[in-house]
Amino acid sequence: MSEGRKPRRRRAQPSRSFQQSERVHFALHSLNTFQVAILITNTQFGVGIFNLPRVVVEAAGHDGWMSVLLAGVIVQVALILMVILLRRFEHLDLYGICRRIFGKWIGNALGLLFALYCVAVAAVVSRTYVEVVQSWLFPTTSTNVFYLLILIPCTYAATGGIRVLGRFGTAILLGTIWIAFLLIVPARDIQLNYYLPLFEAPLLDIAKGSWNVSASVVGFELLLLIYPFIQKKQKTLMAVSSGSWLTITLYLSTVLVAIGFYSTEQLITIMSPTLHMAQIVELPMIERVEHIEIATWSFMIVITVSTYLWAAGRYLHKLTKMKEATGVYCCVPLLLWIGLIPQDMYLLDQFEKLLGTIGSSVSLCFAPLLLVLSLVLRKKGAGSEGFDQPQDKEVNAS
Amino acid sequence: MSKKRTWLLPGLLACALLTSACARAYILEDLGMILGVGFDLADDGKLLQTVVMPSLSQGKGPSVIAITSKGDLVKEARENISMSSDRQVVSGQMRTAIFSEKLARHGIWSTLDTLLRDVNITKSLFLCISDGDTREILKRDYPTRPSSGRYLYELFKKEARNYTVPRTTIQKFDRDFHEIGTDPYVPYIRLQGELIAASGTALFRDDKFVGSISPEETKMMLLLRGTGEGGDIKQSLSERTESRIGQPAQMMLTFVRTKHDLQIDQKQGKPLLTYTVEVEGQVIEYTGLAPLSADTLPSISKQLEKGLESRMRDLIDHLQHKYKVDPLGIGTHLRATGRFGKWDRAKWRKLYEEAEIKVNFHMRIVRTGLTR
Repeated sequence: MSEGRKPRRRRAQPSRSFQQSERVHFALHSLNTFQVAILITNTQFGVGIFNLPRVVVEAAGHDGWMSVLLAGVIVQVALILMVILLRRFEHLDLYGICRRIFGKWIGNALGLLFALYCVAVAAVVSRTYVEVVQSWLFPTTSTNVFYLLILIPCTYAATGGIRVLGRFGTAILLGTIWIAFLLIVPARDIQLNYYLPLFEAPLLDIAKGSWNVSASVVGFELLLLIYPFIQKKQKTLMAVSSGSWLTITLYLSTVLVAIGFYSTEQLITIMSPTLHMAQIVELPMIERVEHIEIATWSFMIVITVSTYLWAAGRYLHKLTKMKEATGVYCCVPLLLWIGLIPQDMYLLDQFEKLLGTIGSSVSLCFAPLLLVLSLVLRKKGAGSEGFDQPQDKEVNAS
Repeated sequence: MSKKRTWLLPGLLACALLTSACARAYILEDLGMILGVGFDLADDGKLLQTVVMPSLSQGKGPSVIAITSKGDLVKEARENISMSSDRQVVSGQMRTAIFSEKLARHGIWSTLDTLLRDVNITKSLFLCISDGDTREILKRDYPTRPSSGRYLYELFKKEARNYTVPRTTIQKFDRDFHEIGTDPYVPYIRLQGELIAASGTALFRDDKFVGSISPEETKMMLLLRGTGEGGDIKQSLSERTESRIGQPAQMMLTFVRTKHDLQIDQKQGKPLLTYTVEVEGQVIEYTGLAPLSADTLPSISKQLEKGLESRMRDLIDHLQHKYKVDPLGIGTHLRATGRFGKWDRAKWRKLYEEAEIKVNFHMRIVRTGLTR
């Protein structure tokens, strides 16, 4: 892109000290509390929910819904640790924290790994969505073309930066939340016996189920990157927790309805129970409501993918001082390449599993690890001592 | 930068137009939409498939086309059908699937597989079993509906509300088939002269048809399953009428409210189940002579209670020992208590066989209609 040649604008320019310019930057791009919550929910919602009832029931039988709850609790713990870590380092994001703790080289290498992970997640989410579209709507259309098409709006949204993503996310959540009401139809046919007896699955199986859920709840780790943009940092924990619990609530209701609607043995045979339940819905004028659901879901995919893409682009931005948008464009070829590798369902499934494992480990363990290391090495936030920098100070700085 | 962005998105999205040729086009006039499908067993063990499609021909001619074809696989037979039709055969509008009794006795799961696998086929597809050839049923013309597939769909929808046939879609069959604790059941139809008539329920053991019960028995079965509000039921009384010599008086009732409770106990390791069914009924027909008054009603409802209770017991006995099937889902109930240890198919069959099932039927006549 040619923007690099243009005279740089003030906010991207490292004027005076680096730190101060960063602070100005943050003040200009801020997310309010509501947007933070929504952004977390949006990134968590991806393609995982389509198969979610099956994967939990495979592990924990009809007690699978407890796995979802347990996963919610685990995420909550992870979020608390993340917020403690972030407060310790004040205005730094993950890449900055890595550099501060490990020094320039190792820190940058770790950041690179995280950025690669973000690109891989973006690729797998969009590619899996393409697979869903193909198996439900257009079986014969070219996969690669679809994949290219879905990447266009993703890239476009990602170049807009986090403030655009926050607003876009709000619009998307309001535009897609009606899908939850499709659950009412299968819910009328619930057999209460299918939930009983409670606690039949051993605790270990429920934990295994939670592990399966964790691939669907990842997304909250992006808090590590959006934290510097949050307006009211004191309310961060509240915002991200409510975002995460909104996700868990929606997941839980989906899983509960699916377990009551399908018999346990049947549920295991169904590829995407969530979509199958939408197939039961018959409106007076419209049949095949799942088609509308899948099409609407593309918005959810776009926001997830673009947020991850933006996160990867941030790495290049921080590393080379290039523009954020340029950083995003630089990630797109990699994104494209990763998504084109799996050409059939099984390879994609393996890819998904692998990335689910990596994603859960990263989002659960990375922040606590950094926290422990920062405590051991006595590294702390960018210059100032206090946890919270008052908002007006930042504004004054601009 | 902002100038650049204005053309960027429209430009990129314009690429989307290039892919519009990639999707396969379905033009309504060229489609043969399957409304109903029937499966028979051919003499050589192959599958005979009959489909009915609306004929969109201009002018006169039959309103539906019915084509029969043979194959090992469902989709193979469909392909053969497609070859003998000028239209592209699609199954998105399929409403009913009929299986002949002969085929169903060998199991229908392998045939259902493709219906469940196919994304185009709705999960609210009605299944039923016919006593004769499904070809006969589907090829016939019906006065009220343009096609037999549609006719059956409307018939089942209506009759399911009267509880003479169960409301079973392919989703429900799939659910009960997989569930370790319930056997599937679907409506049973018969050709009676010129008409198709819903005549009760076809019972399955796993996916194999084993027998059928009458519409009256179906109502009682559904009552035991906890539905049945609004259904009618006939019961003979002990009083003799004079008009038709020797005929006992009869009473027809509508169930306006039903309550249903199942108590599960254990007796020497064997399950003991007690159904308590409480019904409030409204008299809709009565052929006895004694006027229905506060004096006579208690004794009449006692008789009704007794009669229905014994009929329910007979039904359960048939299900349990004659057909050895569990459409009531007793296995599911037992499993839900969690008192019977590790659950599997063999255990369910064994427990069901030796279970003692009691029925307590309580009847209250709340209204007698406009006359006494």
